[in-house]
Amino acid sequence: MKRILIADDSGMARMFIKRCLEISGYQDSEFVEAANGRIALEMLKEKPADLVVSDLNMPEMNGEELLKRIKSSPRLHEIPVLIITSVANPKKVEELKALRAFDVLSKPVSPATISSALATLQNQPEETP
Amino acid sequence: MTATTAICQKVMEAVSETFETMIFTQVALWNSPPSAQPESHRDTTPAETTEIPVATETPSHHSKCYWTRIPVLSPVEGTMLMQIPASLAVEITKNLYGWMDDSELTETVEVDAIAELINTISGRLMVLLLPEDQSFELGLPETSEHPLDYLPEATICRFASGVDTFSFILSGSLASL
Repeated sequence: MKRILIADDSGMARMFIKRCLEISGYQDSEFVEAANGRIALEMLKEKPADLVVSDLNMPEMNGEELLKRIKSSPRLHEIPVLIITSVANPKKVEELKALRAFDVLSKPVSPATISSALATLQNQPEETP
Repeated sequence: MTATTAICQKVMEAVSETFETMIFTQVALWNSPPSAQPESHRDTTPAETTEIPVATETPSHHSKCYWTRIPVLSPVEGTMLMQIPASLAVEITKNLYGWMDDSELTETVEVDAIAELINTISGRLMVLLLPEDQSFELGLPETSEHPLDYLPEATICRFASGVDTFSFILSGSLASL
């Protein structure tokens, strides 16, 4: 069973993303949720996930910092991080991909958009730190 | 087409895309009389809606409203604010949480849904207003049941969704984008 961590300060957004993931074929996954990047990082340190789906604009620790921390951690760096945000323009998308975000999707997202992004995840090569 | 109309057209694009994707609901621009404007913004210029399809049905009277605002921190400073009747907030929340019983629809859940809605609309709108290579930063949404602070130089765009109407308001330097 895959473990998927969803980080977003909005409970509604977490529920919406979870539902999109379930529709996209991840219905048998274990979903864990965090209201900001700091909590997400603590949860990952306790038990790593197979996928992190994160918002950018969150209190305490934003999604960009969470991404940096994950990718700089020897233990967590292989976890794919999918950013779903309302504040992404083409320049920001490139910046986040340079930080090794697996993909960056702009809100509002649909199940089809998430499904399409995750389809390419299965063909991704293993990351090196 | 006036500058205000052009901005409202972009707001319309951001609002309708968000509503249609997230809650499968269509919206239309609504041409209201000045007396229907939110009380704290009556002295501002109402948006012109020439050349844009407008709703023709009479909106319902609504007593309780949510006021949700999100600060724009860069590259310009301003505020985006949405004034939405509680009846529409309930409908939006029900659409988002399709599995939820009416008894579970608390005010906290409604506020969370509206905050996520304005967050998504605002981000989409900034992408539409700014050049492709321009980054921007938004603050966190804040919701109240009472009109929030007076907003100088506000541009008000009004919309109809079913029998309800709601307003999306831009203030500060946003109107100059």
